[in-house]
Amino acid sequence: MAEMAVAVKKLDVALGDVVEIGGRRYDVVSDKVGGVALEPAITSTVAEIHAEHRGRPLSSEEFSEHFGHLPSDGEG
Amino acid sequence: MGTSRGAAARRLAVRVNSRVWREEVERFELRSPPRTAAERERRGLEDHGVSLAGLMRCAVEGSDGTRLAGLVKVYVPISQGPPSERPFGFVLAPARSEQELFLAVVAFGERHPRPGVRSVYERAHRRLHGRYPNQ
Repeated sequence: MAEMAVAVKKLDVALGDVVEIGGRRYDVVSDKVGGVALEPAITSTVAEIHAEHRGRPLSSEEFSEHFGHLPSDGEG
Repeated sequence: MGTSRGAAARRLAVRVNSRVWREEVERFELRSPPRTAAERERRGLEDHGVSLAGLMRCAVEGSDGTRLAGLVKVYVPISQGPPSERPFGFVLAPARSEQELFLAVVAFGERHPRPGVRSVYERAHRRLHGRYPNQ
């Protein structure tokens, strides 16, 4: 079988970088086996999401008051 | 729709940012099981919020290296069914506005994805800390 000629584009990126391909952004992440993988980018933090909703995060005391009684299964 | 202590079915408002929804839910293919499951819940979450009884606290230190103190989660499909029948999850960040206490959707995804795919918890960790747990 004849080998396909593939033009390899070398990317100078590191874990944590964001790349744009075809107008879509991707996070450069670990593939957990020594290499990297691309995933659809996460472009905002929890703090930024709260700000967009015009809210403020709860203090640890407020969190305990409202949610401290909830169960936790330790899964994540 | 803030908390109403003592009520039989206390519910909290849920707010969905369209960009977050696109990044978390629409990354899955149209009609794929996770996307279908999330889309099925969206109207109910936005219109009626979520029952406090259906929420769980996220782990301060998860076995997967995630640190999600201050966040809560609900398994999807949202139901009374056992967790093993609800393979997806929303991670929600509590916040307070001038009007009410609310929960913002910050991550959605598979609870136990195949190797190499980020779990909903790892994605929430990324949004909370700006990087994935192993970075």
